[in-house]
Amino acid sequence: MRRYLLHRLGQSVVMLIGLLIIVFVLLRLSGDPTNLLAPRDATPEQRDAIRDAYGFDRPVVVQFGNFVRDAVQLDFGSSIRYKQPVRDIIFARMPATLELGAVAVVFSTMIGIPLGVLAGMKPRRGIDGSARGLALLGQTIPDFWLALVLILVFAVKLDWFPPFGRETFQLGPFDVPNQSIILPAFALCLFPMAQLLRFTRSSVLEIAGEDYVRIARSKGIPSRLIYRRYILKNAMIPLISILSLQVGALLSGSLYIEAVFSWPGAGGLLAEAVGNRDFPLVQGLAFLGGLITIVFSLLADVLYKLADPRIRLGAGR
Amino acid sequence: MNAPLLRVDGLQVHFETPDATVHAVNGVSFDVAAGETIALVGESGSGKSVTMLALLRLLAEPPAVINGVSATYVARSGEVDLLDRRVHRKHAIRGREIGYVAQDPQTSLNPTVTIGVQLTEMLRHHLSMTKRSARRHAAFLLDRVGIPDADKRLDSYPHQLSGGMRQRVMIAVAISCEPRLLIADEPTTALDVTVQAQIVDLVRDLQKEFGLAVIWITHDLGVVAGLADRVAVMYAGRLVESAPVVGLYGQPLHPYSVGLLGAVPRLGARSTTLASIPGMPPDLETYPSHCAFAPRCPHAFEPCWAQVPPDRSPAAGRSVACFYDADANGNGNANGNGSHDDRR
Amino acid sequence: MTVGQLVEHRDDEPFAGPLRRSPLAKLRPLLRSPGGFVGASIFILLILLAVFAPLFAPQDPLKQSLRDANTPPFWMTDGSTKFLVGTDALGRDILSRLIYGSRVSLTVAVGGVLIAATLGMLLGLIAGYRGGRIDRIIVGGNDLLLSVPYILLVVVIAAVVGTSLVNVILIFGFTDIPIFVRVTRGEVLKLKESTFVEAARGVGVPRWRILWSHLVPNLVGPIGTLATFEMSSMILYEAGLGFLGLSVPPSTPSWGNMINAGRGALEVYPWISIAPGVAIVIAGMGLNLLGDWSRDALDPRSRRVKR
Repeated sequence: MRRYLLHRLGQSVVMLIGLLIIVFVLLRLSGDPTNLLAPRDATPEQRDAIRDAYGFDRPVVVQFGNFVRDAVQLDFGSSIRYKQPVRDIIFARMPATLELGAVAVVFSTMIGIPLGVLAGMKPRRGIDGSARGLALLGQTIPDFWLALVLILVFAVKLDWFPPFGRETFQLGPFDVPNQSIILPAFALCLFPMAQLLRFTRSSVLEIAGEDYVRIARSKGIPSRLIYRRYILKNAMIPLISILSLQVGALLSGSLYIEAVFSWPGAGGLLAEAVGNRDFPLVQGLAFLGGLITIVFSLLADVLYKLADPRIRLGAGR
Repeated sequence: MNAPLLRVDGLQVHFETPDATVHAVNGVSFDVAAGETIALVGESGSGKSVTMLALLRLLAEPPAVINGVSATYVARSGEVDLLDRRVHRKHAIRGREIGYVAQDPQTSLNPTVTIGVQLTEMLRHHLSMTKRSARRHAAFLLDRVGIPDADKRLDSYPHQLSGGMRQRVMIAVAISCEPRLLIADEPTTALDVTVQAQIVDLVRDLQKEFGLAVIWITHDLGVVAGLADRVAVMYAGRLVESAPVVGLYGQPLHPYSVGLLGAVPRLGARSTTLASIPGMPPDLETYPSHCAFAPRCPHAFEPCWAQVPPDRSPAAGRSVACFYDADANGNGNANGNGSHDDRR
Repeated sequence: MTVGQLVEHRDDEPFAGPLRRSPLAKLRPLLRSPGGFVGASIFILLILLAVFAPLFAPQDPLKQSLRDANTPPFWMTDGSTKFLVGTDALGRDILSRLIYGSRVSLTVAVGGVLIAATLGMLLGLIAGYRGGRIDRIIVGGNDLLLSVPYILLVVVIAAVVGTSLVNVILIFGFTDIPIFVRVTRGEVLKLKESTFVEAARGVGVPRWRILWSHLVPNLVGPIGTLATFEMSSMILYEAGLGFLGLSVPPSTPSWGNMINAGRGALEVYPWISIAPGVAIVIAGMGLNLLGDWSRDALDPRSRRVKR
């Protein structure tokens, strides 16, 4: 087990390096990145100045070396737009994204998992059909469009929630968001909820048909116990991985929702940065997003291996 | 003789699927006396497992539909009909009255729960033991079925044991609450031959010690010979012959039984070709209107195609569902409609 | 194997041979399954609309008419049957733009999946067949690509490389390769392990022939199903890009940029943003239903066994 952990950790480090390469290459895809940075009417001298300041005239390897050195310290330079270190900007906005992600995870698990379990226990009946329909909707509705619809119905027409922005109230020393988080979190949770539902359903369905469940019934122990110890316990194991991956995706991909709701998180920052051609900021965000994904994917693997005794304890004999 | 421990009368199970209806069990009747061992023999698809699962109501209904006249079982609390659903929970049939051992030890145990818990949960539920005494008793059981280091093994997970050991655990689980009847569904099929013998011996010992009745499902005639008091042969969902072991081996009456026994090669036999029964078992989607074995039977004649042969009792304790009578004139004459009673 | 087993007939495990069913035979149950039928119909409708857009569209999608700007759909007050789903801020007919928008969505979906599937299958075949170092490299690259969050990747690339239909197709095509690699490689590995292949090799059938006549039919199913789902995803992602203004230029109607265009006037003229979303949902649903049907139809495990 320990060997596996080390191996997996090593793999993650390799992926990190690869991520750095990708981010580096991405922003040089169009050739000289000076063009991305300089305003359109810049004079050649101004371009040269920029090129020099960012070191774009140095050999690629040197550039990459510098990039890696800086990236490890999370130094991505200063944002063109905000004139502040990229790192500071991103960190300032991360908490809002974390809040949103957390609430979205709560929603998606509270709706998706129970429905999935019900659908898996009674397949082909009424509940199953509705659950699968819901899952289908969740996977085909564009989240940004849903966000607009939600705003229209609940914020504008019904006036239950504010249509955009993050409003807070004081809870002790903390700045806690009020119901303004509900709509964006709900729009954000739709896709993961649908995924969770389908996955839980198929996991439960598969487990319920296993031999040991039938044997458990033949033992005459109460249904509740069979349900908990035999079906759920086994069905939930693969869910851990999916959840972990989803959290990673939520944190790094809340771009659209934050943009539509003007939620001051790091995700929305990307849309802005791209629009403003704020090169250093885009780079920093891309790296951070990738980092989060790698970490949560590592977590997904490790947690799964820990949860399943077959893997955790090895093949024994 | 006392009333039998289990008397099944006219059990019928069919499965309704969108494509077709599968008639798995078509009117099976048999008795099991207390303490006796019955071997239920037949090939895959003959309905042996389904019969047992139906009695324990372990089939998903739908698609399964279970019917029958009755399945009378003498429980501790009195006579009950296993065909009545409510009986199972109320009289603690599963686990406490009847134990069940399945075929594949790989998949019969919950992989994420320790062996100890899979034993103690039964003891605590059926026998109301405390956690500690249940654990002690579980260790005792594991030891009894031949698992070394029983106390430590309680905290092992199933995948840490070999196939043979897992099957022993299954047996321990099945007998843990002192059932009167043990249903073993091909428990040795998935095991090595040497381990097979050990398991058979184990069951025989346990049977003697606890006074268990055993229904042992198998398609392996070698196992039958070593263990059973009586043999029941199933084909295409029907019981085609039932006889004491010696009687069946000495003089099989149903052509299918003859074929089965003939297919077993014997040391010193002169023939070098392996005898096998020509043809294929029937499709179970059509409800039988004639003898299901007729297409493959060397002795089939007109009555065999006209109706399903009823049971007849050519000798005490034997029954066979066949029109062909090897005794009469050696040529096969029809015996008139035999009587239904006296299945022993 | 005991002797008793010689008499027994094992029908429960079909001989693991190649799938030689004619693909057409699989189409018949399509009519029986309601989901599959609906899905297939939507898909076909989509293709027809895209290809024959000029025939279906009642108006010219680019024609502006400030006089008719912001007309509601015909079932609302002030609506007219001239513009069935209303018009946008520049007076362009939304229904026609929706129909023409299907061209963008479909082209991106089909083009992207073609690129991803072709390259993905190629890489997967090489990885699975050759094994060893090449396999590790390919799988490593795969995982790496997967570790970058999709949205991030797509958005950044689009921002850097510039926006045009071709670029979007290329971006989606390349970033979707990993999943096709994974599925193909999985199938190749499965086949390599199967006893059937062992038997065939034992009789002297050359490797390439085994691959060709047994792998390819086995691949059609899972890849086909996967392709359907990926197309649905691509339609969604293209809309997302369009919403950010990173897809086709705003004059060309695309469902994504139509939603964006109506965003400012959401409270007063909601249909401008809502209608394209409905189109996306319908298209996505159709493809998803089709994918579901195809997955169920081609999965040998869920086929009804006779015994």
